Amino acid sequence: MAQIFHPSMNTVAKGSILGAVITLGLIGFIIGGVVRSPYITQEDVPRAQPVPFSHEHHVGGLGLDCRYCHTGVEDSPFAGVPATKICMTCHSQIWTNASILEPVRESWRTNTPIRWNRVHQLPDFVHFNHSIHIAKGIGCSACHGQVDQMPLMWKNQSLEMSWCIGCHKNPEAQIRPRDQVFNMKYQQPSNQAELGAELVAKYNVNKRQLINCSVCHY
Amino acid sequence: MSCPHKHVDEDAVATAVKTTPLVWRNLDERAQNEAFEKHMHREFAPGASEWHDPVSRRNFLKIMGASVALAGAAGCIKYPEEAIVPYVQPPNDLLPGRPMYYATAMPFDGHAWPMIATANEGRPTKVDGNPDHPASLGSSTAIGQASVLQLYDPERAQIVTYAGQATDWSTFQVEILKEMRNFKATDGRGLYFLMTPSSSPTLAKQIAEFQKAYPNAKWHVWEACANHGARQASIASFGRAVNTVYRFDQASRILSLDSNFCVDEQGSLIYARQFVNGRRLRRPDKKKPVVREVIESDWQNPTYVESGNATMNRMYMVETNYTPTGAMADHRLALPPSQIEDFARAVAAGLGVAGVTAPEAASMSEGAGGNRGTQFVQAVIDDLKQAGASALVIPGRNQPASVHALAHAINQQLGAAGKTVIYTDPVDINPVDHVESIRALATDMNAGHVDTLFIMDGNPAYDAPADLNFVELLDKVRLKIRSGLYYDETSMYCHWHLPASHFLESWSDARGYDGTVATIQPLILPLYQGKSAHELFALLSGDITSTGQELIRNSWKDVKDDDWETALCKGVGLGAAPATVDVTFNASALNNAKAQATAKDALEVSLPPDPAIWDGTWSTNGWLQELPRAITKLVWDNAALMSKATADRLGVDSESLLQLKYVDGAGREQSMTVAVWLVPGHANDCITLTLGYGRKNVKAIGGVEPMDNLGFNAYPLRKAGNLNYTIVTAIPAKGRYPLSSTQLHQNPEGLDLVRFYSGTEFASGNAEYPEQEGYVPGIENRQKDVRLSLYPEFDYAHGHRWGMVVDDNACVGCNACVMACQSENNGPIVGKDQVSRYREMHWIRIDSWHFGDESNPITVFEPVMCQMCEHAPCEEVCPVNATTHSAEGINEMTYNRCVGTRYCSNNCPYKVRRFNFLRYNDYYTPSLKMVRNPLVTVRERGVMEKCTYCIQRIDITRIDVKRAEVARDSALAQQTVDGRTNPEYNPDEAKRQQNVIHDLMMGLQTACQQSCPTEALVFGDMNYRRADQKPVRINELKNQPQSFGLLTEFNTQPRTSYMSRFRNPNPSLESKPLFYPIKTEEG
Repeated sequence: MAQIFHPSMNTVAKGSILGAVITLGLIGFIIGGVVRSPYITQEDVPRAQPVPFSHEHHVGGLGLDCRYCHTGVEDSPFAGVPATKICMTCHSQIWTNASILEPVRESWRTNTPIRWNRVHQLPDFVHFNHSIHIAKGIGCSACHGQVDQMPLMWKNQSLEMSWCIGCHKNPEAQIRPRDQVFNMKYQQPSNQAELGAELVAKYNVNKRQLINCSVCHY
Repeated sequence: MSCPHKHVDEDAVATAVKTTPLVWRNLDERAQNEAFEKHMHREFAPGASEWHDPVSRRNFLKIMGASVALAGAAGCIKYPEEAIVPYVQPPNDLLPGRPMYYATAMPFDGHAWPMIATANEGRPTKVDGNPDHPASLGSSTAIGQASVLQLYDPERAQIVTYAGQATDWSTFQVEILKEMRNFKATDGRGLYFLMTPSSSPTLAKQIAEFQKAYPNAKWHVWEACANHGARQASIASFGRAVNTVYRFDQASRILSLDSNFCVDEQGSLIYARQFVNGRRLRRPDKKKPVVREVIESDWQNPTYVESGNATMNRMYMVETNYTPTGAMADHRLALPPSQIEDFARAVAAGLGVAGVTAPEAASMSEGAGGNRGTQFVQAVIDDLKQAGASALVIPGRNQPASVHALAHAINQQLGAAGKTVIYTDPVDINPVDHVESIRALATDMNAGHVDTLFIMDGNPAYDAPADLNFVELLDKVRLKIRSGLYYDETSMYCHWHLPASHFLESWSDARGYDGTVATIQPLILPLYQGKSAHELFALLSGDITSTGQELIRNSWKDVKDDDWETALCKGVGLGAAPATVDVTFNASALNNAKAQATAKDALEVSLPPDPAIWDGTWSTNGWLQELPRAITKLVWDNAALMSKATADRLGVDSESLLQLKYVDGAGREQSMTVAVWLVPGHANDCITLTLGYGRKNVKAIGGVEPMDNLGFNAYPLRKAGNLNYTIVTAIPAKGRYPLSSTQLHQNPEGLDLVRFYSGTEFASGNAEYPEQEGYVPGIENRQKDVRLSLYPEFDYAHGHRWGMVVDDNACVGCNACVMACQSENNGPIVGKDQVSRYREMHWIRIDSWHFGDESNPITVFEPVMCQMCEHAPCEEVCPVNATTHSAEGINEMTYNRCVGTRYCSNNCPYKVRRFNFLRYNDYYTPSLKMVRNPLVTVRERGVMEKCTYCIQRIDITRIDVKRAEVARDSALAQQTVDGRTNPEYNPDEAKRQQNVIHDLMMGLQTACQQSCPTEALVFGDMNYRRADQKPVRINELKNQPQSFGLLTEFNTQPRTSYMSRFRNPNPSLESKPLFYPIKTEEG
């Protein structure tokens, strides 16, 4: 019986096996890349809002403190999105006829909440707590970025678990003095490694416990 | 479940001589029969790895194939977009993300359970006892815990209906005001009200005003499972209605005449606590003798009664069914219902109560006690006589007036009245005899006097005495108006149905069992169109503008605004318990009429309320339906409970059917078929059939089956003349009825899982307890005892170190913890069929272990939840690290990592892990989404779960403690500025923060612990050092000599430890006190 396959087929067969492995690997790599890309995580993608509220103007320009609007951030798991009443403390006096603020005034008039589009969203099995991060010297900008330069809000980080764990394993890299937590312009000093270690000890950060699953998942 | 520690050679087991085990869980295990052997030889639960959905295996594979493909695609889809909807005007004090707590109370059975309700962003999600109110002291009942589910019950009546057609309140208002104008002309002649008992002072005022306006209107009261005997006897014995309050803290000898006082009396939360307080033996210091420990209200700071020798109270129980209180008794006599009165009379006569003659001794020799009866009576008489004024006799809610009168007479004779038994003004606003009341109503209905009938709450068409033929009489009423939470059997016969508001939606007030007023405030606006009784009465009186809040506030208008605010905040403060009243006992209340002897072939059927769904009101509550009842561990059903001797005589067995022939209300012979369930310790020649089942057109939350097919309606057996029991003839019927009981589910196998000793021997220090392998009491010793392990030891020296103690001596088996856990941790309801496949999802189970003879066992309840092993077998087998060990010693369960291999569950010797075989959680019913605790993940199918020590509570407390520590440290840092003393330094701030930390640490309780009326569960941080140097309570308990661990011989090092049960037997009945474990030669 004549040979069906030419001897060169041996090379082709080996090549195609290798090719298949490479292709599958590549597909996996691409999927992994896409899943972690801003396309999926929405990292760095500004989110449209019913009222084009500008943090750049209010924080960077006017110098409002974070806590003026995000009232729960020091005491509650949620930082809190301001009630219409908080908007109206100023906007009943200034820019009272601005058309872009009409949804705010309408909300106030009709007692109907504004539906803001959520920017930072965690799965329901993750229980993040703002208050403890604030208390232990993790600045707002560590996760939320330079909010004072964001005309519309976007996610500065992917909020993936590996990113959370990175800091929970090594809080020295991000910790800052407590009086600098709300400082949007805070720059890490050149001796962050030493300062971080000092602050971790001073603020009694329990590193062994930080990497326990039940710190976030329950 | 196979024996985890040794291989079971099936042949060896088959040929081994069958010996009766010393402790056993059910009658099959005691008999070591085939059914039990089959159960033991099975490694997994029946059908553990089979697919039981209506979907076939083939379809399943198809769907799974598609799901896998779609899941791949779904991975590339962006995160779902969500909205944030903040308030327009935020409510005062509310911080989103932080729960709010409100004091309120739950009206039940003519009194109220004071509560603290938790609201998450305006949704009530959990209720607990109110620690400030003397009728709760922080504890709650199983039904109370489940009441929050009732609020969101989708089966609740949602709209006003007329003749079954939807209409609205304004139409009703127009109609009813027209009717009321007509009644005004006749002063209300023909206007009748039928209500359930209430303790609301405001409602009393409203009714009084209404009666002034319509003097001819008639008021009737009916609640099927109220304490009828007590009401009747109070009027007969004292000539006036009184409320009897028992002081178990003053009692040294207790006789319970069929009273399940640890669970179902009005004051049970307090009675159970006081009763158990009289039995807690502690050694506060290693060098000091054993004394009694008393926990009044602050469980962290118990007091010790240094009485020289530890004195325990002693309780005698005479009852028909085996109740949890019966299991707590030191001596127990099981008697058929008719003979309990004989027993009471024999005791009364023996104590010299005038006008009582002892029955013939023979009348108590039948029953389960055999000739123990006579001996038992004598022992009780002698003991009560010796105790004198510190004796206490309590009659059960299911006993007739004659037994209640005898109990009053005995208490008077002993001098106990005024000391252990006190009488106050009634708590009930209309303390009439319900039986007389509904009978009078039935007579008037029959005579055609009733023109308009208002039925407020209750369900008389279902639960009125059978011989009144209430449903037929309803036809003779021109206009029937019904107000209630549900469109039920009664609503079907009425013209109007008006939805009532739930207590968590309404303003009201009520009194606790002792008469202390509790305020009721809403946590949420009515979900549907419900109105409270107050609003309804205001409407009838023509007041259509007042809100519920205004009605209640106006009724207390003498109270200053500040005091009112405080009362609302605390839930107490409007009125203290009423003063005691002086009463004189009228001996004519005692009648010597002998109960009609039951014919030889007849059986007495005792008819108590169901322990979970009560009189049937709670039928739709899936949590309660699935609550394993104490002792029987039945779920979703009632059954004819009987002793093995009776079943053998009748030729029936558990799950076989029995035909009961009885005479119905109209005097006709009727028959009904009921399923049989064998109970150890049940009286012979009688049956217990609980009320509340067999309702029509009712669907329970989470119930797959319609309720029509579940359980057996016992109300047709119940007649006005004798609500307590009825007489039937029973013959075996063909067929079987499957019942689901969890008694043998999830059992651990090992040595001496339960321990009980004689309290006196323990206190004297003479008792020798067999040493337990792998366990030394005391946490200091525990660390020395760490034995060889392949895994590195964890270091718990720093940070928190959570632990738990379960006191078997205190657990009365009331099930409140099971409900509290389900409510706190979003536990799903799985349904009867899934329970029969061993798939119940309760994270905490109460094992009941019986010892000795099946007709009169000693029973110990043992709550078992995750033991948080320091060498956890589950952690070592998880392939995906979904269950891990935390730095604080908690065995964590991470749901989102779990892939459902179930290795952990198989490797857990305590069998405390639960697997979501199907998607048990209801993801679709909108109202049920609101009951969930937002801090706990709702678990999906294919995920393992278990007790977490309420990690969500631990986490939030830990965070708050750390924040307070930061605040304290920064306050302390103010002492110096630039190296110099700061003149403005305020030392109070640091001290205040330190107190915050202390309060947080001491206040942290798990859900089960918080609900427990007897402090049987104690949780805490074993590393916490109190500023006052007192030992933390958990460490103090772990150092007690009666402390033991479960299955410590496996070197699992469980973090949870147990404390043994103590008994106080009467030497004349038990000359050598029984104890367990007994040292055997094999060890």
